Amino acid sequence: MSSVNERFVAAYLLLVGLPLLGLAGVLRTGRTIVAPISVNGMWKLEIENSPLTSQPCQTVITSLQHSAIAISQSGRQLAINFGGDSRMTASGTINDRDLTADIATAPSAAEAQCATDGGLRLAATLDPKATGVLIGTLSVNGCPSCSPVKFRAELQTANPRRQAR
Amino acid sequence: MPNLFTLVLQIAVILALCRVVGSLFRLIHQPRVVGEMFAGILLGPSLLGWVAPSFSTYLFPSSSLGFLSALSQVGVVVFMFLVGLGINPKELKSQGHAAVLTSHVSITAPFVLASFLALYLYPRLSDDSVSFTNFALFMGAAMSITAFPVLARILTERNALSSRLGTVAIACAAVDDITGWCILAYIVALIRAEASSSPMWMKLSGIVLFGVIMIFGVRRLLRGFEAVYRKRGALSESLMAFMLLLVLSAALCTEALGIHLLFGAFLMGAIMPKEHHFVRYVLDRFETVTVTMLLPLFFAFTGLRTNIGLLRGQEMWSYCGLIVLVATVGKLGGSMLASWLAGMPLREAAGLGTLMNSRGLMELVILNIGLDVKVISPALFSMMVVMALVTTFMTTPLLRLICPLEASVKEPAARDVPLPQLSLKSSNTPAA
Repeated sequence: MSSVNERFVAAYLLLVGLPLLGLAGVLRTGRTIVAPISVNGMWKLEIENSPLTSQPCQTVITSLQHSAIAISQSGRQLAINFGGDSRMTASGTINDRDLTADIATAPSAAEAQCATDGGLRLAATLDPKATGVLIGTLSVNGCPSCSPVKFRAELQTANPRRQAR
Repeated sequence: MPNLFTLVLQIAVILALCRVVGSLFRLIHQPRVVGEMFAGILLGPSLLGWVAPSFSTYLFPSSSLGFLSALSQVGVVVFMFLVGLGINPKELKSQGHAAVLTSHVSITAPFVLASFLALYLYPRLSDDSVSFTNFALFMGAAMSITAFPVLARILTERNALSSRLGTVAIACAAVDDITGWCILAYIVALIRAEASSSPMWMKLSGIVLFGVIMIFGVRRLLRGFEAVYRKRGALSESLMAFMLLLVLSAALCTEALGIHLLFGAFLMGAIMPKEHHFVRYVLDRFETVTVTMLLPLFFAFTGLRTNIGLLRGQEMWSYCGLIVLVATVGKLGGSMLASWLAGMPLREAAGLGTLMNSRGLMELVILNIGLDVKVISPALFSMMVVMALVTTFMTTPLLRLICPLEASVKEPAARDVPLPQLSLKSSNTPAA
């Protein structure tokens, strides 16, 4: 082997072979890393019956009954859309199994009577006993007299990424 | 049925904006295609959807996006065929050891750095429905790609396609893209196979068999096109239609095999005969409609999926900055170091690294595949689009700074000049 070829082989091993060994190490190490639980997908919301939901400030919550929630996840960050309405969007986070989101809403005529900012707050937990079930509450921001309303949401469309695992 | 009025209106608006922004970018010495990529982002939720949400919903109702996506995908299928057509791996052989080393390092360096970055980003921007291996491999493939057509366009505009820098860059980019697409095909096959009932070995066997048939069987058939062209100086409409049919058939085969439509189209282009005049002739026939009309639709569709608004807060922007940094260090730094060690003068080596760092619309194609197979999240998609725009945008000014035109070393006349490339001009600017 000529000295040029020897130098080429040495450089190739150093600059290509060694990094590839590093890649193998990274892939091995990475298997132990835990990513946030996936909540991506379409969920169906069921609000528990409550006499308080007849209050004007809470009409927006009752309007969400049976609506579909689309959750788009990027790590811990969540982008949530209610019923395909572009005005009903929320940004939230997931910490372990707990999910929180602030929902921006366009106040309806009934809600205009309320002295609130029209926004809602969602707090939920992934049910440890059942797969694809969220249990939590929806509350009206800035309305101390409005009690939080309980809800349950079930994952409707299986997340393709979850299948791809 | 699509709402025809909405669809035609969308196409008109997209084409108009792409022309305007592309022309503006030409004024600042950027390739038109960079402006068109940017125009796509402007039409999405990052700008139009943010400042005029009602108009955005009127112009791009969610029910219409399927048709826009289908049209743009057809454009990308033809585009990938043309990219494959312009690639000739044999060019690497004529460049010797230096180009082989540079080419391979320009893949491994960004790939490995991206996988290290994946260790940090996986728990922050992904979720447990994606395995770390798929995430890291995808990040590696996405960061190691080079925008072959954009690179060729920049070199053409500098009249440097036949310079030493140009020939090495084209050869390295060709190998990078072939390797990158092979890795990506593997990742997509892996992800889709995990989700399907048929075993992985069956899929892989099918893919290998398809590759063998294409390379050793269909390739011989394709020589017939070149023979007819040599004899008559042109190909009949029927032959052109047959060629397009072969491209679509190959695309359908790879889709059915569980990889992606685009791989078949790319492979068909890569195994086409590489005689210069023949390549130029085929490019001229397909290029105009693809580059002028269909690619802007793809840019707009990508823009509609890109939401810069998802990068909320300092934390998300720092991830984005980190992605740009790692992509640049890996690709620019890796290519530069390897070519310098292989004997290229430092300035020229830096120029080569800068060219290789241009990712352009090839990156957008890969990112869209990643988002489709859900291996990357919407926020990471947006960050990677920003990275693609930044690394492509920085190429021309950095190259002018590092490697002025007079510094380009011309290749000896005996060397083969690279194949004709997609001009990506879609304007009246004559190709060099």
